[in-house]
Amino acid sequence: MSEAIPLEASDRNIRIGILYLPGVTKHALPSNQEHVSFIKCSELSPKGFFKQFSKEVENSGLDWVCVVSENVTFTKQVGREFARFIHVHPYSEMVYSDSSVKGFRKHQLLRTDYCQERHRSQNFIGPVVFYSRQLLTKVLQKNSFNDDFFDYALSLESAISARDVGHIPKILYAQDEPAMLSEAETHVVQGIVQSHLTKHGGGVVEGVSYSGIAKSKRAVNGNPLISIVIPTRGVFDFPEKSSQSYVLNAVSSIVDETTYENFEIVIVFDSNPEKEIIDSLNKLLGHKFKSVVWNHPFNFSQKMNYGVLHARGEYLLLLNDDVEVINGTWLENMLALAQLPNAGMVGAMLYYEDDTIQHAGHAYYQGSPTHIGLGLPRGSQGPNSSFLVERKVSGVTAACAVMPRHVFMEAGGFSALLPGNFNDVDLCLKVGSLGYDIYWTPNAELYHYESKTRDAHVHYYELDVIEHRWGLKLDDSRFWRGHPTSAE
Amino acid sequence: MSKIVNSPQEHDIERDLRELALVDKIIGLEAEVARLSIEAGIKDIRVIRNSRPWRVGRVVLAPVAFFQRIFSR
Repeated sequence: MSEAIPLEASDRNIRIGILYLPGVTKHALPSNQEHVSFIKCSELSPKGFFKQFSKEVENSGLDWVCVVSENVTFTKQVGREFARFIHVHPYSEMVYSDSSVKGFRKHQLLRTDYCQERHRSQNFIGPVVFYSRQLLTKVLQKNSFNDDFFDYALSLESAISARDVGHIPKILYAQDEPAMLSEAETHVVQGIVQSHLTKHGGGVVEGVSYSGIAKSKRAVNGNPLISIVIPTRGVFDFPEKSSQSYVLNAVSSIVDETTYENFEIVIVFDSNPEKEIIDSLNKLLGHKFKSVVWNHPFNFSQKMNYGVLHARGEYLLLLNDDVEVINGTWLENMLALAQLPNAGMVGAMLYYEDDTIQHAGHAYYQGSPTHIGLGLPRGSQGPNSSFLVERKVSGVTAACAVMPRHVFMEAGGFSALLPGNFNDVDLCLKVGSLGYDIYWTPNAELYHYESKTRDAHVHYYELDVIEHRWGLKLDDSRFWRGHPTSAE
Repeated sequence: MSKIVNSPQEHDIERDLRELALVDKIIGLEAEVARLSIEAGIKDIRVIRNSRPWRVGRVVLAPVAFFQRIFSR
């Protein structure tokens, strides 16, 4: 321990030890601020530093330890912002912030609030993480870590034990452009994430890209029944091809592609559906088919609620009739996330017919609900590789969403006050207000043939309902930073 | 009345639909109350900040605030 830097108001100071991991060559300390003193810890030996690291943490008498794993330049405000954050968020035991990239003034790495599921796919919290000493002591007592990617393994494990992981949405340091991994390094990261998944809930890592993205998935627990609820008019939608309908296309793709077998399909028809369509569905689905007829005037929300009440599944998949499944494992990938503790809803990656993105989660941006990634080409990675990783979002479209049945009921289903528009936004906000998490996964891909030029007529009373209920929540930057359709 | 195929418990469904609507209304009202109380708080703060005592106080305390900012750096 060395270099205690004197400060004003020392009685109330938060003492933060800065621990640079081996390989970091620039050991500049952040400037001290009111209420915060930074202390440089001893240098760690390049190999086998775990014991020395633990000793530093045990002996330090510090309140917090800031682990730095890359060369960074701290801003002047780091101490003040940290102290403010801790004052407002006293339960945070692990804290990270945004950063900028050195040499690129406009290139900012704006991070989202913490998400365990994203963290196991990507070390998105950056190279500077503050840990409360209590938390570190607890984690280091129970675990030991190797030198390689020590920071990632430590943060993954600590986040599990932390009461809360905080995010300061301000740029507190500049870092180098994130580096690409070597082949050998990708295997190390794969090992770290795999052992983390095995230890905490199960799952599999299929591989790690050179940019450090681990293609990891949770495993399904058991074999629960999923009820797929599809509302449809039940008519032939294409006048030029009299034998085709959206719902038949959708169901065919489900039957042909889906690898998960324990599902039933509840189709809610308007009155007078075509008999041929019902016959075809019976042929396609057999005992998995349940047909329900909605005889009331059009109200999408009530129609869906009606269908759900006829479903038997522990999990519900709300699905539009104008979709087509792309990847076979879509259902289990969504179900695995819906089975996470506290999961309320899970959405998928939807593409338009022309292979542009329609939906990579909802963003409530500057008072308007919109789709993340709208109009970007299929294959775009999104800012901070957001389109490649499973992550929390503010909401998802009900064109394709999995929910535990009890969450749907607890939230009162879709609101009958919103017959045509915003009913999914409202449902997501209700689910969020009940304290459940909403996830989005790129591992469930579907086409959504909703016309890009569709002029969905929004009634004034729908705007009124959504504004009166959720006006202040329609500006939510917790899970998406910046413009929803920005490519980078 | 809706015609239900493959489901014998029509009255249960109708009851459950009403229950869902009721839960929805309660959550909606709770959200509205929360929004209104936050907006009322924001309005109160705005009124206080526009009041004469607040403005006079700010002018009087401006030098103190200035030096406080300088010394806290």
